[in-house]
Amino acid sequence: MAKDRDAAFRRLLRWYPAGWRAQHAEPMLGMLADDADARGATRPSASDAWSIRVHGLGERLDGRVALLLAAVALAVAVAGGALVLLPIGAAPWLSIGYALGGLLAPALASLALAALLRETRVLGAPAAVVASLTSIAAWALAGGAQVAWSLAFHEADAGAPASLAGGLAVLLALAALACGAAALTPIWIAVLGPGRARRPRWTAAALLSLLCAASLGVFAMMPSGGVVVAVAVLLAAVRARAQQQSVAEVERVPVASPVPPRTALPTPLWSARSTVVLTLLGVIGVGCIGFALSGSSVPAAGLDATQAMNAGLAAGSAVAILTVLCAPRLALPRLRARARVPALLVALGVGGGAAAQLLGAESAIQWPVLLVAALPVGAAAALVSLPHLPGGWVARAATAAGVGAAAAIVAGLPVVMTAPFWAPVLAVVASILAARRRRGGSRSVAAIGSV
Amino acid sequence: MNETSFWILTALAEGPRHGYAILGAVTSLSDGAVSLRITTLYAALERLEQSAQIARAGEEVVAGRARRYYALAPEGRAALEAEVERLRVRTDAARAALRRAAATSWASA
Repeated sequence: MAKDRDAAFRRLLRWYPAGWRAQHAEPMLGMLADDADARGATRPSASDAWSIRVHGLGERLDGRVALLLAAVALAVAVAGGALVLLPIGAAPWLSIGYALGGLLAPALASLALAALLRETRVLGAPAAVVASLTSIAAWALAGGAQVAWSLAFHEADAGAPASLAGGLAVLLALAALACGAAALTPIWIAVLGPGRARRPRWTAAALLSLLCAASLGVFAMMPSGGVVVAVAVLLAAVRARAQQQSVAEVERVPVASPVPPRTALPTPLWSARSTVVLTLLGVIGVGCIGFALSGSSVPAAGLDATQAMNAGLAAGSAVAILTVLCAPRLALPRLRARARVPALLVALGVGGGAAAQLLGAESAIQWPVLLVAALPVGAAAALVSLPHLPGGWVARAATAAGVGAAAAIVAGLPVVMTAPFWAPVLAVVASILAARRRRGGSRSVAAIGSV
Repeated sequence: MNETSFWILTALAEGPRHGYAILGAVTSLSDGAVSLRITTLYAALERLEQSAQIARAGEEVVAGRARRYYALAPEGRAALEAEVERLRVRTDAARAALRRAAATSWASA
C-alpha cells in the first residue's frame, strides 16, 4: 500500500522540472512519505496533489522561460504591428495584425512577467501560477469581447436588428477586467509588503489591480502598446538574467573598469558659435512651420495651401536633418562620437520623411517610403541601447535588435513624420545646453585665472 | 520576514534538523497555529537556502527514505535576531499603551 502511495507521489513530482527533480525529488519524497505515515494516509490527498501540481508548475516559470516568452512576445508584437502598418490589404491581415499585436503578444508578455516575478522571488510559485492562468483567461475574454463588439458594430452599421452581441461584449469586457485584476492582485500584495495589516493591504491591492488592469489592458491592446509592453518585459527579463549571472561571477573575477579617456572639451568660443548656430536652426525651423501653415497667403510664392504645406514641411525636414546632425555635436561634445552614427540614421529617416512629404498624399509610394524611413530610426534606437544592455554579445545584439524593431514600429513613423515640429524644440534645448556649457567654461577659465 | 520564514528559522535555532522534523517543530513551537504543507515548506527552504540564511547540513537515508538536514547560517541567525528585536519593540509599545489605558480607566473610576 505504502509502495503504491509513494509511487503516486513520485508521479505527481513529474509536475516539477527535471532539473529540480534531479536535485530535490528524493528528500521531498522522503518528507511526503513521513508526513503520509504520520497521518495514516494510504494515498496522496486531493489537496496534496493540487499543491504539488501548482508548486511544480510554478517551478517551471523561471528566468529562462521569462526570457523566451518575452522574446516571442516581442516578435509577435512586431509582426502584428508590421501587419497593421504594411499596405498589404485590409480585412484579414489587419485583423490578424491586431490579434497578434493586441492580444497574443500582451498575453505572452503577461506570462513572461509572471515567470520573471517568480524567478526574482517577488511571487511564490502558487501566486505566479494563479497570475499566469488568470492573465491568460483575461486576454482570452478580452479577445471574445473584441469579436462580440465587432459583430455588434457591423450589425448596427448594416441597420440589422441588434442581437445579443452588444450585451455579450460588455459582459466579456467586464469579465476580462475582473480576471486581469485577479492576475495583478498577487503582485500588488507582494509589492505592498508583508509589514502591513492583511485586510487594508488586500483592499489596496485589489483597487490598484483594478485600475492597472483597466489602463494596462487598454494600452496593451493597441498594437504599439503591445510592442511597448513586450519590449519592457524583455528588457526586465534580460536584466534579471544578467544580474543572476553576474552574482555568480562577481566573486570569481574582480575586474577593474578602465577609465575612458576624456574627450577634449570645446573652448567657450566654440560654444558661443554653437549656441548661435542652434538658435538659428530653431528659428528657421519655426519659420518653415509658419510657411507650411500660411505660405498660400504669400502672393509672391504662388502656391496653393497643399503645395505650401508640402514645401514648408519638406524645408522643415531639411532643417531637422541639420539639427539632428549638429545638436549632439555642438551641445553634448562628450557624446558626439557615440551619437554620430545614431544621429546619422535618424537624419536618414527624417530625409525619407521629407521625400515622402514632397511626393504628396496622392502618390502611391508615399506610405511605403515613410515605412522605409522609419527603419533607420529603429536602427538608431538599437545602437543607442546596445552599450547599456547587460549580458554576452549575442544576447545584447539580439535584445538590441528587438529594441530596434520595437522602436521602428512604435516611434519610427512619429519621428519621421513630425520632424519639422520637434526639430526646433531640439534646437532650442541644445542651444540652451551649449549656452550653459559656455558659462561653465567661462567660470572655469576665470577660476583658473584667479588661482 | 514572513511568518513561514520566521518559524523555520526559529525551528533551526536550536540546531540542525531534517525537513520533516522542521515541519513538526514549526507546528509544536507555534502551538499548532502554523501548520505548513510539505510543498510550502520545501519552497521556503529553497528560498532561505538561496538567500544564505540556512545551509544544508548533510543527508542520510533512513528506512529507504532520503533525509536532508538544514542548519541556521549566520545570516539567518542575524535576520532572526533582528526580527525578534522588531517584535519586542512592537510588543513593548503595545504593552505600555495597554498599561496606560488601564491606569487611566482606574483613575477615572
